[in-house]
Order: sequence, then structure tokens, then C-alpha cells
Amino acid sequence: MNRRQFLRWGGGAVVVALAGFAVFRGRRGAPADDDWAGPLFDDRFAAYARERAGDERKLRVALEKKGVLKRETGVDAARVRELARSDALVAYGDFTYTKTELQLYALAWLRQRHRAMPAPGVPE
Amino acid sequence: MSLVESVEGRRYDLVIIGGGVAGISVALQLADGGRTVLIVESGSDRSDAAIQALASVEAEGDLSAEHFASHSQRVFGGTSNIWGGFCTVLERRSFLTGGWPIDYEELSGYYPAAAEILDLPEESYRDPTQPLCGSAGVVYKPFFQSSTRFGKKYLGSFAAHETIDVLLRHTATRLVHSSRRVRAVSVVPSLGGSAFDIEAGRFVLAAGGLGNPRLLLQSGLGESRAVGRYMMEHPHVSNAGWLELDARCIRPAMEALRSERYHALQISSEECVERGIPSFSVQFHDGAGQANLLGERVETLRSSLFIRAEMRPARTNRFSLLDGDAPTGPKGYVHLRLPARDALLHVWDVLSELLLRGGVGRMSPLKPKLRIGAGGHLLGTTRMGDDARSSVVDADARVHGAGNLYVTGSSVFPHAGAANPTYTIVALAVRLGRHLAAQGEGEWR
Repeated sequence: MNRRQFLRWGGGAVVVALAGFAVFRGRRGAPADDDWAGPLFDDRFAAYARERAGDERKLRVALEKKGVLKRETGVDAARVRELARSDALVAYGDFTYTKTELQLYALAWLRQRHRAMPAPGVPE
Repeated sequence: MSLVESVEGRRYDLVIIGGGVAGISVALQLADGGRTVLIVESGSDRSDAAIQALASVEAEGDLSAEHFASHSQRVFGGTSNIWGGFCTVLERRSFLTGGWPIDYEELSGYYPAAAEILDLPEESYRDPTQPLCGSAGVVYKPFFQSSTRFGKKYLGSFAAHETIDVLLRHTATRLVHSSRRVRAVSVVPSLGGSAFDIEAGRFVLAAGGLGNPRLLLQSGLGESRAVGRYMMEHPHVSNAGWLELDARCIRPAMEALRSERYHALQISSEECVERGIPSFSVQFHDGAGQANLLGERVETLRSSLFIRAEMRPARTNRFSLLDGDAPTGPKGYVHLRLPARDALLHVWDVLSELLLRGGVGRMSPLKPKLRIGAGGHLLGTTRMGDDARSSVVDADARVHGAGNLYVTGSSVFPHAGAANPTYTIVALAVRLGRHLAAQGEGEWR
């Protein structure tokens, strides 16, 4: 392998590695920026969210797959409305919601709660 | 003086039996035509317990005997003496499916005149519904407020009128008829006295949902017809559940109208027809809040809900007469079953789904335990229709087979809608009054 071949193969490997890392990150979920969650945080959904506290990643992936939650722009409300036309309806608490709404509000509640928790070792 | 004490020996062009909302509205249409009109009212110009007792019935089913008696007011002005004044036009739904023998436009053409009688704003007939963003299946259809007490408003003008007489404290007991024509009505003083006949060229029964079939049955004019059958009420449920509406959607509809009104949402008539469901209305009040709706935090209007529903006509729901020989006639009997919670639940869920899928707002589930009451609207007992086997009056409100006998009031409704009926009662009475007023001289003989 001459120097030129080495650089070509090496460059390709770097590209593949970077792409793989991006896919890996994508699977792990959106970036830590959860600003979208603040406005949707509502204690009305606390019970629903607590029951799904262990499935937070699943919730996020499901919402991303539906196109409801986007890394760049947060919640796509137009997409939630679009889905509402055929989404399953669920009675929860005092009202009826679409399934997607409940997933979104549960995730918002969980994310916001994490943010509100003090970091370990940081005095309150 | 047109508040007469006795009419013996007199003959009128028209006798109206019942001095309530419907009877007064018919009389007003004949006030200028020179026709001599007599209104016979069982009650007085103010409530009298002894006369009101004549309205008592026995009842089986879901409503008490007191319910029916208290909504059959024997006093001049009828139930307008006790009403809440809720007015909105009847839904188009049952007209779209042939439930009425007239077109909706035929009825709605009389709402402007009815609005004048009821002191309602133009908006009540010009803009009875407002669309909502996002949901074609639901409309804003408020109730307008009338404070008209018919007795108080019209008795004075009738007392001074040259051709309209009012006979109070006399109860009609029988229509005297032969050869398919009514010749006279027998009346008796409500609190006792001798009976006598009053002759006329035309007769209009305007004695309410129980009084109209009663007189037909007492006169032998109801045995083979639907008289007293297909009785309906308006199921009402207070505090049935909750509603949250997107303020961006509901406020423009609410603010498009300026008149005093009670807010309400209704499944549109077209949607009801498509889904095969009866009319259904929920009243709400204005309470501001915030909530999540379809992925956004929005300003909302939050309220508890009051249901006004339509019940389907059923032949088994009926008014009939018990045995007896009291001077004013035998006691009445009512059998009425209201729809069960499950019937309301289905329509509630439809409304809930339409609101949420349309992005307008959300409702709570219907409360599991409901007290289903009724609006005090006694409807359908002399229903209008083309077929004499299943109806009592034709499209002109004339009793099938009786040339000069008409019926008006809530009893002619073949379908009740969800709207409080008074506005439509007055519209139909105006229609009948004008129909009579337009009849040529030959037809009055």
C-alpha cells in the first residue's frame, strides 16, 4: 500500500467512523436541548409519566419516528394535529387525548423533571 | 271590552283553544284582518292553584306526574310564565332526512316574525350558527335570551282589541263535529258551572303537548290515529362532564355575535345525518385557562357542560285518558321513557372525537353516573306528517280528515331536535295564523 492508497483508505475509514457515530448518537436520542419540554410541562400528566419513567428513551424514539419531535426544531405541532385525525384516543384523568399527545406530554414531564433535579454533589 | 265573561249565542270566525305562546301567536296574525277571534283559556290572568290542578296526570316511566303537570300551565300566557327564555332555531337535521313534511326553508322563513314576537335579536335567525376552525362537524350554536311573558305582554292589547276576544277560566271539553267538520266547542267554567257550546268557522287547538291530544281524545277524534303517541321530551343533563376549547378557535365564533346569549356547541346537522345520530347540544360558560392541546400550550376556555339532547319518537311513549267523568274531562295518563345513558354516551363520544380530531378542544369522558332530567318540553303528541296512520296533522297543521280543525304548538313536532322549542312553536304558529288569514271568504264559511 503506497502513501496515496493509505490516505484514501484512511480517509474512507474516518468517514465511515464519523457516520457510524452519528447513527449511534441518533439512536441514543435527541441532543440534551429539551427546551421544547418546558411549555408542555404540566403536572396533570405526572401519573401517566411516572408509569413510563423507565421508557423515556422509547417515548423519545417513538415521537421522533412519528415526526412529532425533531432534533432541530423541537415539537412539530402541525404533525401532532395531522396525526390526531387517525390517532387512537385515550381517556386519561379528566379528559380525552390522542395517544401521541400523551406520549409527548409524558416525555415533557419527565425531561423537565430531570432538569429540575440538582446535579449530584451540587449544593441546593 | 274583549275580556269576555260569556260568549253564549255568539259565533266566531275562529276559536283558539289555549291562551299560551302558540295560541297568542296565531291570534296576532289575525289581528288586522277583521276576522272575529276568540281565545279560550282554561286558566286566569294569574296562576290559580285550583285551576292548575286540572292539569294533573298520572305518570309512569322516567318522569314524575308533577313534571308533566307543572309544564302544562293553565294560565294566560301558558308556560311563558315560568320559562327560562332559551331560544334557538330548530336544527335542520330531521328535515334533511324527511322527518318533517315541510322543507326547512318553509319553517325558517317564519323565524323573523317569531323573533319580533319574542323580542329576540336579528342574530337569532340571521346567524344562528357559527363555524369553528378545523372542525366542520361541530358548530357554535348559542341560545338567545327572551324575557317575554306572553300573558303580561299581550293580554292588555287583546282586551282593547275590536275583533279578538279572550274568555278566561273556561275549559274546552269536547269538539262537536259531524261530516268531517267541527261545528262548535263545548266549554265549561273551569271551577264549576254549566257547559255551553261556542260555534265558529275554524278551530285551532293550542293547548300544549297534553291539552291538544286530550281534547282530540275527549272528542272521539283520536281513536284510530297517532293522537297522544310518539311523545317526546328533551333529555337534559347538568354537569355531565368537562370541556376545554382552544381560545383561538372558539373566541372568534363567540365574538362574531353581540347579543346576549348562552354559549353552546352542537354537532352539525350534516354530521348528524351522516352518522345517523340525533341532534345534540352542550352548553358551556366562559372560563379562561391554559392547557396543552395537540402539542402546544394554548389559552383555553374551560367549562363544565350541560347537555340538551334529542330523543327519537317512539310510539310507546304516549299520553292517554284514564276513566272518569269529571266536568272538565277525565284525568290524563303519561308513559314516557327517556333515553338511557348509553344512548347519550355514544353521541357524547362523537362530539368529543370531532372536537379533538378537528383541533378545537377536548372533552372529558361522560360522567359514569348521570341524573338524566328533562326540559319540560312536551312534544310530538299530535305530530305533523303526510301519513294519517302515523301522524295527526298534515303539512298545513290541519287534522287529517277534519276540514276546519288545526293544531299548533310543540305537539305537532314530529321530531324534537335538541333546541328548546318555543322559538319554533311561535314560528309554526305564525305560519298557521298567516295561512288562516290568507284563506278566502268562501273557505271560512
